[in-house]
Amino acid sequence: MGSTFGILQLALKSLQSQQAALETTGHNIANANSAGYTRQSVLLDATPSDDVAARGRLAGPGMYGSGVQVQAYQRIRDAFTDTQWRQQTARQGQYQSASDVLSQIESGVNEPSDSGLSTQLDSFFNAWQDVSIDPENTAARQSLTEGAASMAAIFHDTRASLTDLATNLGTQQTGDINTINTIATQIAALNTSIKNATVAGLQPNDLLDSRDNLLDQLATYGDYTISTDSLGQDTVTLAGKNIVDPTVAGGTTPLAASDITASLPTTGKLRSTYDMINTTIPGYVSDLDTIAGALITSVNAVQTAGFDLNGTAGVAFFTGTDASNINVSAALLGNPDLVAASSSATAAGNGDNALAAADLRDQALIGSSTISGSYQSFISDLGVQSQNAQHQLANAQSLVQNLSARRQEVSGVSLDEEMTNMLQYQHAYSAAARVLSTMNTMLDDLINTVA
Amino acid sequence: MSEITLADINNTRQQLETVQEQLASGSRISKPSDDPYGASMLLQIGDSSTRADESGRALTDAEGWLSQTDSSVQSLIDLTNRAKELGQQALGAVDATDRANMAQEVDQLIESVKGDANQTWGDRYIFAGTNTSKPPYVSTDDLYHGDTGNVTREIGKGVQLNINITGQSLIGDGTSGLLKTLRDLSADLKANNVNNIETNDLPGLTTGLNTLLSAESTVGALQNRVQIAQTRLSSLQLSLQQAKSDTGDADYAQLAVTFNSRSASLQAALQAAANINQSTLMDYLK
Repeated sequence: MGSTFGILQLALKSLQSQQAALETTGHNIANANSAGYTRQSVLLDATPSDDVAARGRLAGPGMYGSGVQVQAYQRIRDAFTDTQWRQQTARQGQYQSASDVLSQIESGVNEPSDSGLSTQLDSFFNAWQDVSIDPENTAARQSLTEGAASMAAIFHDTRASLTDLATNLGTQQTGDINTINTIATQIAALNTSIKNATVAGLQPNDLLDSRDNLLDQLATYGDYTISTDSLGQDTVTLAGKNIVDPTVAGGTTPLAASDITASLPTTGKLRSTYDMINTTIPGYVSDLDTIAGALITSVNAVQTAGFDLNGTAGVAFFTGTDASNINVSAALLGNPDLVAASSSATAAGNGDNALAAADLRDQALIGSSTISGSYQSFISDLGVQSQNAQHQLANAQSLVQNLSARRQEVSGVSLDEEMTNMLQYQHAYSAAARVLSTMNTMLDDLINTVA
Repeated sequence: MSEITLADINNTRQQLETVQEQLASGSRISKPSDDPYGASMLLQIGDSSTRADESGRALTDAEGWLSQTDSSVQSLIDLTNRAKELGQQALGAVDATDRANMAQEVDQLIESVKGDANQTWGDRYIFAGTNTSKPPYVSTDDLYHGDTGNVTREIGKGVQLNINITGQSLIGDGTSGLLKTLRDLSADLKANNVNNIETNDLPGLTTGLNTLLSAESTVGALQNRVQIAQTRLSSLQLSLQQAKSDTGDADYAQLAVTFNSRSASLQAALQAAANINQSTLMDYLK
């Protein structure tokens, strides 16, 4: 048997505990729509029996209860799902960036269309054939040189769209690195607050939420590992560097572009951007350069072997060596009579050399493929790569979606559940209050009667 | 739950957009990633089809060239027949004055022969070999001023057709051939050398005529080949058109059906979302 007023204490503890539970429910409801908020629940626990607590031995028929207390405010979160979500988000970031860039390349090459390079290459060879049919016709020659000039312009444009894209990606990468470093600084600040709270014996749920939120934001940029020390501080390692590191002053070591090169992230936007800048785009540029180069070399070889309308030996048709500097030679543009259509110095009507130039379209000038064939496989490669990125993106997106749903199931606030809890705590509170008032009546009876 | 509903709605909407884009543009492939293989096929078909158009131009040009050649050769045959007639008349009961008059006509014939041999197609001399910018015959001499080059047209991928006959092989260059025979005839008529006309000039004219007739049949055969090539080309163009349409064009009937089914499922998803997100426990608690 406890003290007379012990039951008042018991009722008070009950009231306080139910109130704390109600407060937590209110907190959950208030944050139902907050990004990254983790549902909290109050762990209520019976306080130790008075017998044991006060006297250290059993008395009478056995233990009797001494009430309730809040043991912990729990944060309902599944670390495994978090890890998975972050990995998939990194993949999503990677393919999102890749498919964006590739679709920009696709719109840069503008194929299949009537104005793309493919059509221009066809027209170029056709124009040679036109000249071969009517070699004395200046109009045919003119349309050959003008057409070639516009083809050269498209080579320039396409290549420039690729190199510009690489430059923009470089800028974007710098921006991404800045964002990462900003996030790292914020995480470091939270690390300190979390440490202080932990040292004081508090459970810093909302700080942990904020930190998880930042870690989620970081996920899209690359895959990273986290290790947590005994004081709850996280060390985050990205691209081989501890970007958040509680052991150093300031808590961070900023990421630099050179770190990415030194230790490439496996996935994430950083990886995709790196691959695009260093592999994919240079690959396409070199494909384009090879095509332009083969065109320049082969057409010039045919040209210099022939004779122009005046019977003079032909001059080079194109200047330049690759897609960036291919141009129709200025002399030919000014005077199309200089196109060497003839294979003989004396025969104006001989279009054999022009025909030889037109026939270049059927020759395997790049490995075992023709110029058009090589360009077609360039387009087809690009298409396959872009399609692949889109498929991977769709795949990663649906995985992230599923994982988000799972996270929501575990950590999200269900209003229905909170409402139920609220009713439960409310009734418990009322009941505790009733215990108090009953005790009050009993004491009243006792004091008034006895007195 | 609401996130997934939203993602589903967005997904359906995106699919609907793709169908709508195809319907509006009428083409199934607007960028390489829509169908990488199809896109490269389209480029190849485009290549073949512009080539076919180009061959078509070459064929039209060859056709004109050959029909011009044909009519010139025809006219040369008529002229030679007339010369032969005159030669035959000269063997009959005519006197020296008549023969001198005949010689006058033969001289006219020679000019006409040169005129025919200087025929042009466009501004190109068709009997001058590849030296097509200058007339192969001039009035001051009987020499051939062209060359022996071949004028060729590509009538199909890698198929070259030689479409010209040189004036030299047709009427000679003043030292042999038809032109020389006509000059001899004229001289013999003027010299009243009947014997020479009978033994040399008339057989010479027959030989010249045979050359012309065989040239005419050659031209006829070439015209046939060009015609066949044209027929084949138009059927090729048709099948390329077909292939292009099969590869790249949107199938409207199918798209219309897809569009309807997708828009139905979008509406269903929206309806479901509206119903699901409407009610909570709060509606039932007082």
